[in-house]
This record gives sequence, C-alpha cells and structure tokens, in this order.
Amino acid sequence: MSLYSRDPEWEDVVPLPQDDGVHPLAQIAYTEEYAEAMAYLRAVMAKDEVSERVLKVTEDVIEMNPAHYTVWLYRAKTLFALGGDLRKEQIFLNEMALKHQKNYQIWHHRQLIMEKIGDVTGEAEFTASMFEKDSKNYHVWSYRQWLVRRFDLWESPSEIEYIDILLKKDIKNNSAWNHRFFVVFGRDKDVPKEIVDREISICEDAIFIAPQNPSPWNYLRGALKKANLPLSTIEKTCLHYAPLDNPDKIKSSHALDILADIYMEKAEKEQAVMALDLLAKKYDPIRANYWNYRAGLIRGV
Amino acid sequence: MSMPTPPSLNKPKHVSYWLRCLKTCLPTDYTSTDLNRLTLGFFTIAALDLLGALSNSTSLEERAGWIDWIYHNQLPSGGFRGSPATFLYGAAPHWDPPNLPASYFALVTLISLGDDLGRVEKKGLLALLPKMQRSDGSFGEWLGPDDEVVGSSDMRFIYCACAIRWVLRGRNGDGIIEGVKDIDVDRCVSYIASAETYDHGISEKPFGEAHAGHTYCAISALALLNRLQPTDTGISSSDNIVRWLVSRQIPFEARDGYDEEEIEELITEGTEETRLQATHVEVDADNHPLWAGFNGRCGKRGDTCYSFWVGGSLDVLKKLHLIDVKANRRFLLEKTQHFIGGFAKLPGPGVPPDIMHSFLGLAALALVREEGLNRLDAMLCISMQAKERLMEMDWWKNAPVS
Ligand SMILES: [Zn+2]
Repeated sequence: MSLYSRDPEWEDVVPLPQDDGVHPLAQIAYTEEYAEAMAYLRAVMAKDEVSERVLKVTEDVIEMNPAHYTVWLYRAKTLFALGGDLRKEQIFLNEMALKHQKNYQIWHHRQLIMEKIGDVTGEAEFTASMFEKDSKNYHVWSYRQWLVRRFDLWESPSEIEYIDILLKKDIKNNSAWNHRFFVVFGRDKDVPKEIVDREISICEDAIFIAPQNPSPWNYLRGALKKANLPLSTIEKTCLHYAPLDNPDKIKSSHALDILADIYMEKAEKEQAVMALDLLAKKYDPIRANYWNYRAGLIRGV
Repeated sequence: MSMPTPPSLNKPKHVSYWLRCLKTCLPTDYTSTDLNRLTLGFFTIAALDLLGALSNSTSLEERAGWIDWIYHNQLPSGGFRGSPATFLYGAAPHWDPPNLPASYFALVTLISLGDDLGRVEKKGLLALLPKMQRSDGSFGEWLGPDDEVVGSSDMRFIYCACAIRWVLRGRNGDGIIEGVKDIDVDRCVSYIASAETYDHGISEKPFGEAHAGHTYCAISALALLNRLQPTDTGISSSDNIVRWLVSRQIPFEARDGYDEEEIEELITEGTEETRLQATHVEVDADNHPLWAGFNGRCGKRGDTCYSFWVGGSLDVLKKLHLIDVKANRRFLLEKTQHFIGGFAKLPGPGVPPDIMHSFLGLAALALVREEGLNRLDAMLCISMQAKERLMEMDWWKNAPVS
C-alpha cells in the first residue's frame, strides 16, 4: 500500500505524523494513503524544501483533499522557483477542477498560474466545459469575471454570444443573466442608449417566453437604474403581464411587484396597495406576510 | 386514512447523531474538510448546545479536554490554525499560519463550551486582523509567508474578522488596549456595499451573483460593526435587501422529492401530464404551500442551509416575521430532517445528513423558536446563553484586554 516509505526517492525524509492532541474534536477516518502523504508533505514543508518531489507530494495531497489551503501556495511557490511547465500545470488544474466541482482553491491557484502565463487562449473553452457540467458553478463564474477584467475581454463578442447560448439553453439561468449584467454594465463608464434599449428588449423577449421567471425582471430593474431611467419606463410591459383592471389575466407576480413600485414612484398609493393585495392573496401567497407588510407601510399602519 | 402526525423535531435522534459525530471518527468522506476541523468542531459543539445536551450528555472533564484541544491549535503569536494537519512541530512557522475562519470558530466554540477565553492570545489575534485586510477593505483567508494575504476576497472572511473583533474588543469596542491597530472599518463597509448586486442581494465581490451565504455574512458583519443603518457609503437600503431575501423562499415541488433519474424521466422525456405532476405544489386551504424552504440564489433549488442563511439575515434585520414560518418549518422537519438524526442538504431519497446542514437546519429552527431548542443569536451564530456568558465576563464588560 505504502507509496512513500518504500520509495527510494523519499528514503532521506523522516515523515512528520499528525499531532492530534489528547481530546480531539472532529477526528476523521483517514485512509492510509492520505495520512502518509500528509506526513511526507509536512516533512518537506518543515524544511521549506524546493524540489521536483515537492510537486509530486503536493499533487498527491491535492488529489485527495483539494481544500487543503497551504498546499496550493507551497506548490505554486515551488513551481515558480523551479521554472516548472505552467501549461502542464494548467492541464493538471483542468483535471482537478472537473473532478472537484465545489472546490474554490483550484480557481484561486489557476489565477496565479494564468497571471504568469499571461495568455488567455483556451480559458473560455475550458470554463465552458465546466458550465456543461454545472452552468451555475459560482467559482467558475467568479473566475470567468476575473478573466474578463484581467485580459480586457469587455468588447470580445464571444462573451455576449456565449451568454446568449447559455440563455437559449436555459432562460432561467440567473448566473448567465448576472454575467450579462457584468459584461454590459460592469465598467466605470456610461452605457450608450442603444445598448440599454437592446438590453430592455432582450429582457422583454425572455419575459414573453417565461413571464414568471424572476431573472429578466430583476435585470430590467438593474438596467433602468444604471441608465438613470424611472421604473415607469416599463409600465406598459408590466401592465401587459399584470392587467390590474382584469386581475384574472395576470401572468406574472414580478410584474405586479414592479407595478407596486411604479405607483409609489407616481404617488398613486391606492393602485400600489391593490397590486400588493393581489400578490398577497392570489399571485404570491407564500410571501403574503411580506406583501401585507409593504401595503401596511403605504397605508401608514 | 389516519390523521397525519404533526411535524416535530426528533430531538433524541439529533442528540445521538451529534454525540456520534463527537465521540467517534467521522467517515473518510470528510477528508475534504480535514483542514477545517475547527469548523466541524464548532458545528458539533454548537449543535449540542442548541439541543441543550452539552451539559447533560458530556462530562466536565470531556469538555475541558475539548477546550484544551482548541488551545492546542492556537499559534504562539495569536490566531488559530484550521486543523492539526498544518502543525509542523515549530519548524517553518510560515507554513503553519493563522487561519481567519478557524480563529472565529475557535472563539465561539470555546465560549459555547463554557471557557472564559483566558488563554486566548487576544492581543496577538486582534493585531492579525489589520494584517489580513486588503487595501480594498476585504480580508484574506490566511496569512502566508512574508505576511502575504492569501485566499479569495469574499464576505465569509469579512464576517469572521468582524466577529473576532466584536468578541475580543468587548463592550462598545473600548476593550482594545493601546498599541493594537484596528481594522479599517470604513473600507470594510464600502467593500460590502460594492458587492451589493443589481437585484439587491450581496455577492462575494462587485458584480458577482447575489448569494444568500454571502448576504448573511455581509449583513451580520455590518451588524457587528454597528453599521447596519444605510448610509451614503453603505448598503443601499435594507428594504431592497429584505425583498431579495424573502424572494428566496420557494415552494416544494413534487420533483424535489425525487431522485435525478426520476426527474429526468418525468420532465425531459415525459408528457405534459407528467411534467405537471412533477412540478405540482401542495397547498393548504388558504392557497399557501405546505412546504417551502429557501434557495441561495435566484432560480436554484431549496436547500436546508439557506433556511439559516436567509433566516439569519432577516433576523439580524429584524424582519424574520415576513417569511412563511410554518411552511419553512415543515420543509425542514418533513422534507430534510433525516430519520437517523441530522438534516440532509436536499429532500429526496438517499441524501444522507451531513455536519454542516445538520447544524444549520437546527440553527434555522432555533431562529423561529422551535420547541426543545435553545434560542440562537443570529449575528454571532451561537446560543443566546453562550453569548450572554461572554457578555458577562469581567474582561468583556470592563474592557482592557489582558
Ligand atoms: Zn446547503
């Protein structure tokens, strides 16, 4: 079983066992392989060793426990000191990321490596393959934003095109909507009117497909705010999905919610309360307490 | 048909689940959390504290032993390591660094165990905080070689830093002794504000996607800093955030109780009828769903832990009464409470309980005053009794840190 204690390459190393203390909490049933690799890792770390075999033992530990935090930086420092092959490291990271979807350290390490490589080729494709498995993976979206900022991909058509593909697959993918907002509105500069109009119409198309999908409604609110436009800009759209004069035809609770805000903007309190009552009683009863609270604030109770 | 039994907390099963976690080895699957053993230790101790079982199911000697173990993970110059795994017998101290979450979890576990923090290197730990703060106001996860701030910028580490500061500085923040540099509170607040999203949840960083876990950490951090009131530089308005938070509650659909394959069969390959059957929501006479948990992000499934992340945020904002308490309680008790004790992450067959969701399930129920559980302080995430014990300690009341 043992990998290290019988390996001549590790002959000169005295492994450092874990000192767990007398009354440990949260003891884990380690496999023999893990306990041994960790003991050899501690031994080389204690000496601050920089060598090829450090890359081996760190890889081994990462495979078994990618959430080990110090091992990643130790590996990066060793790799850079040895002038190791960074493209090879990228391939290792691809494997690890696909295997350990929930881990964030991998993406942090990837940033360090990509910072050194300084070339973004292949990254859009790799993150896309991660989104194949989970199109809402938080760490991968966070990394994708880092790529856009670091490699100045704001104007890259592929970024928006890729979001369109994802939204076509799943119009409710809020992570994709969020990335869209970042790409369109994420820079410290004014967004031209035709872009704002384009975004509004994209939201309206999405709402047409699924009126009860909250993502495009939220996006609309955000876009209008960024463009300094009042909510009443979309009053017609809201009334289309939530005709207050014909409550049986209401198709979207989100439209009602925005209508309540629009009427507050216009100081038409009765209309606002009417929308909130419809939400509480019929169209979103799960949040009845919340809608009643809002109506109460307006009524001044 | 017999009368349905009212939903209830199976307290004896939870106690035995946690005692098993406490006194026997955790399964090998927990290897991926090996470097966060102080976190796992906190969940275990704090859960038993909420269940009121700490003093009657464990002995004083045992508790003293666990207290010693936590101190065993304290670093000589202050702060705690995440796990004994990084202890190098004094060699290469930069590879055995202080870890911010572990330092927070160590403090709150010690308090929960009845310790007075007498052996905590308070000055050393407080001095670490400004060293771990970045120029943008965020905090790192741990302090690397040459005092390098390592780890992502996100709300978790901000929360841990603010909680440590609150615990160690004592009443009114006056407890700090001269010569210990404080964190930059304004920058910290403005970092949090910069991560408020267009739909008014809070993300890990500017323009990230709103996430209930980050939102809880951000709201609680602001409360710990006494900066929850909206200001020009802070969060926009708690009304906006409340809307995002209450929007996280979602009805339980029939498919949520199925496994992946069944869902695939009914939705993707099924007919219109099976699709309707799969998304069916059971409601009561008032049209309220019977079961409704919370998701952590817009459009995701309900998950046990978000009943706490969302509920805790709302409790800190004093708006917890705006959720559907009954449907949330039934979701936890009837859909994710496990028959062997603990809570699973998701409803559905074959999802085992795990330590994090088992604790957060209890914590979520404690927030809404479930019978048989001690009350929870949402901001610090420990029992009210534990928090009160801290606030009664002489060093806490009378400031100067030793
Ligand atoms: Zn969860």
